[in-house]
Amino acid sequence: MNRLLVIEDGNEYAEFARLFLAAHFHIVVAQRAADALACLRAQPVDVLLIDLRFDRAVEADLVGDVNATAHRLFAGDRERALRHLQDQQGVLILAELRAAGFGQRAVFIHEFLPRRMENLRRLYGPVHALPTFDCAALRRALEEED
Amino acid sequence: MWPGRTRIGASAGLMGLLVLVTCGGSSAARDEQAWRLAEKAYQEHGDGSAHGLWAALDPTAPKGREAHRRLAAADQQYRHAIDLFRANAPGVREAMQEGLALGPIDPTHYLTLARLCAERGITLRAVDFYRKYLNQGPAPTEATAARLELANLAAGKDPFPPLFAEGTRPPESPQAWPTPIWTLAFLGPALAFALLIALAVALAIALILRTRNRRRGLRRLLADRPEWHQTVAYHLGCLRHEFLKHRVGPLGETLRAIARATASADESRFLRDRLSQGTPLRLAWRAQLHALERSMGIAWKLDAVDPVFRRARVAMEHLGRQRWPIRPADAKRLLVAHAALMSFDRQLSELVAGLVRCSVDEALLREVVESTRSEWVTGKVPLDEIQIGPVPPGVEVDVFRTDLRIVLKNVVRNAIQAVAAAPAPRRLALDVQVEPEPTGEEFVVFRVRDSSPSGLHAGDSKGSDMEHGLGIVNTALRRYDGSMQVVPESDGYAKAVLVRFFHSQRRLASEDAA
Repeated sequence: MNRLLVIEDGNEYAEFARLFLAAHFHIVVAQRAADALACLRAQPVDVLLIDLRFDRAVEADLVGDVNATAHRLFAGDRERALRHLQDQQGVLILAELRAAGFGQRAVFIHEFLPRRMENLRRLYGPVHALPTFDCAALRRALEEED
Repeated sequence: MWPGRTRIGASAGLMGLLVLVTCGGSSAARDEQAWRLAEKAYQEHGDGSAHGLWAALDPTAPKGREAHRRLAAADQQYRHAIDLFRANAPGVREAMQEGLALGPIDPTHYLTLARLCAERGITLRAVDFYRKYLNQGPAPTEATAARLELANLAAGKDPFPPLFAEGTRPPESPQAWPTPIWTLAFLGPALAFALLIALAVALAIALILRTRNRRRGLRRLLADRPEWHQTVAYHLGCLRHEFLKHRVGPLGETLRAIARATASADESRFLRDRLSQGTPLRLAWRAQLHALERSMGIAWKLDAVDPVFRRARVAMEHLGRQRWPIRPADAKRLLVAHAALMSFDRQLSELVAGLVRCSVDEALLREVVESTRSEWVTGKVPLDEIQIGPVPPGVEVDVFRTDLRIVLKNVVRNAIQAVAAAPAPRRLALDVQVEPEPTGEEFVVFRVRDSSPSGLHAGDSKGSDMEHGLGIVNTALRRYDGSMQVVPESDGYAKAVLVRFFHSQRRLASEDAA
């Protein structure tokens, strides 16, 4: 059975996966980039299901430097930088995983605009996205060949 | 609270008093009393709010005739001052003062003054003029245009002479008239009655405004208030993510399973947990909407006024009121409610996609440079080279066009003023680049290069350039999640100011979808 690594700051994705995808995947869960990397190094994983927004994650757990982001993008405003890192954390975690050599297919449940989707695929290879929690579509996205 | 409401009420009251005064007593006494009220209003407010009272005076009576003569003479002075201001010529202050000494300004001039100030980056004064114009209750079309322009102005430096600042008074009238005792005796009850009338009129106006606003849905509100777009987009994003995607979205699978009578016990428990545990659905919905309503400063509930939100609320309440266990027939009904909320999600997505955005092209950059060069100070600086562009195709930013022009004009103005003190060749260049981010997003970078090293060590937008009027830029940057950096340059340029905004990507998205 294929292994699915769910990466999210809460438990909604994992709960949904255990309920609707457990018959097809062995579900593994990580709540931050460091845990995901440890998980990937410890066992083989076939596919990644990643939440985009990590609103509940604390600053220390986030990928990305708040101060540097604030200076570079938000005129020194740390609050906006922190919000930005939380809002985009799923993609930043994927960047960490790719940088560490893990190239598994990644699936987001988010309505990315086409141009951004193109950018993500150019940057990170096999990336897919679904607008809603649709079980059948999610299974197809997780299982189909790139 | 909008300060003009009080003024509108006061003006309406005074107008009512004027009508009362002109309805009783001898014609000479009426003329005298009406003139006294009009003059008093001008002395108290010192601006165009008294213009209506002056204009309403009877031109066939001695005082009224004199008032009309003074109004006409004052208007000539105000027009002269505006012409001087438009031409960046000296003497504006003097002409305005001469006008003020004669009589109140026609409030329609406030709009011209506001636009001229806005064009010149005198934003605080422009805001003041826009408000004064709107306070006089202009025609709806003009009011809408003025409100839009006002909404997109940011705070900044204000070198305009303080002729119309709040609390200032016009000079005393050359004629002072003692008040006879009999007039005071008459005015006592009349004033009380007039005040009651004024109060009633003010209340009626307030009620009309409130009723008119209450009827407005979100789409219409946003059409009039572009300054809300950013915050509304953010709150709608939260509503969609937290409530519709995480809370409601996953329910569809289980409801379908129950409707097919194939749901497991775990699936039923999952549905029950999502609907019953944690914050009740109704409260979670209201919390999200309340945050949105509060961000816009509206005092009514969107899901009671806006039909799109109202339908979604009904569907949400339907989902939250089910009985346990859910039977297949009930699940089918709940699936209809679920589908309605998913449709609502798509409507919100379209609404957000249609919010404020600005196409960026070379014409915009050229317009910014030409407009800045048309100013009196910057127009005198000899430039050896001005380079505009290139701009990549299809670039859009989520910034209202007026604000973007204000930001770029301020940066260009600073660059021109900096090179004025630098040795030749004096060079200026403005172009646009698109920078990708690791998140897949893109930034649109407006690059203003010049040949003066002055301001190079300012760093980001909190640097010393603030002293040169960049406070206005900071306000716009905060509003639109933008940033600014000053970096060293080569190839004949000393520095570049980089202004960054998120690329909206929406137009290209729709093209791709098509």
